[in-house]
Amino acid sequence: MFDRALVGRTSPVREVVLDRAVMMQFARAIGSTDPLHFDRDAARAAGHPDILAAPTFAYCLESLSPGLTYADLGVPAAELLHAEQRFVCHRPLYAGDTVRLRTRVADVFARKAGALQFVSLETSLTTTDGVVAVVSTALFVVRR
Amino acid sequence: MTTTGTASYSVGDRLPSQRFGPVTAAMIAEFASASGDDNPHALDADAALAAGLDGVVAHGMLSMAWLGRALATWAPGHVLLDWCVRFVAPTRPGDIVACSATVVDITPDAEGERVQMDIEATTERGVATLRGTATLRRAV
Repeated sequence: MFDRALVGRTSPVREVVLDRAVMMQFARAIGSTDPLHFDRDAARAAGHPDILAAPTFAYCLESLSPGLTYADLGVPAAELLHAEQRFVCHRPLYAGDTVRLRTRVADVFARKAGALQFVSLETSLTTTDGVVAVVSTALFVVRR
Repeated sequence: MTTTGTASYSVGDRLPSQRFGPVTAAMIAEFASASGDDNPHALDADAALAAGLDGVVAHGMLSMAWLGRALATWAPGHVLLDWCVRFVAPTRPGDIVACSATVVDITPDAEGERVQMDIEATTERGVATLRGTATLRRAV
């Protein structure tokens, strides 16, 4: 099962540039028609430098540029269920931003006498000026 | 953010429910492709059965994204500071998902007001699928 020794394990840093087309494709996939996600002029009129990422887009960046693999965690993808998701947001993400993602195993624990095994992965997204924009924490569970 | 919300609500208010879906296989496939989330439980019935599910399920993150859209509608111009959900039951193809929120606290702070909401997604089958909280800032 999840090894306690995983706690604190940290992925290499991945640097990604927020691509306008990818952000818009995601916004379409969630059915959004909000101009803030599609129209730079509308976003600027609202005081933003460019279109905004949808509020769960940070998780897409993790999926599109994974830091830790299922093999790193020692479980098959098919056995992991997403149990909780948290986003702490310090600054919006805009098209053209360069962000650095770093994923850390924040915790490993069990419930129900080991029948449920949890792993918590915390990913920080830091802009190139050193500001932490978003911290995304995903809790996954494996049933045994 | 410079837009100022016009939302009017008070502590204890239940905000108008917003409906999304019905969930379709095409919607799940589009979400998987656009988000990079290749969760096998959403795309592969055998993998879903092996995990103890009854069949393929929609990504939990699709419903969380819908809650995000609902928050933008309930609280236009607010800044989302912190939000968290638990995925308490699967969402299946065919489900219509209703997003709802209750305002639980409004506290003044240096930049306006911090608004705390309980948020929930529920299917028309009556099953709560996501439950959580959101903290937003409203400029005043």
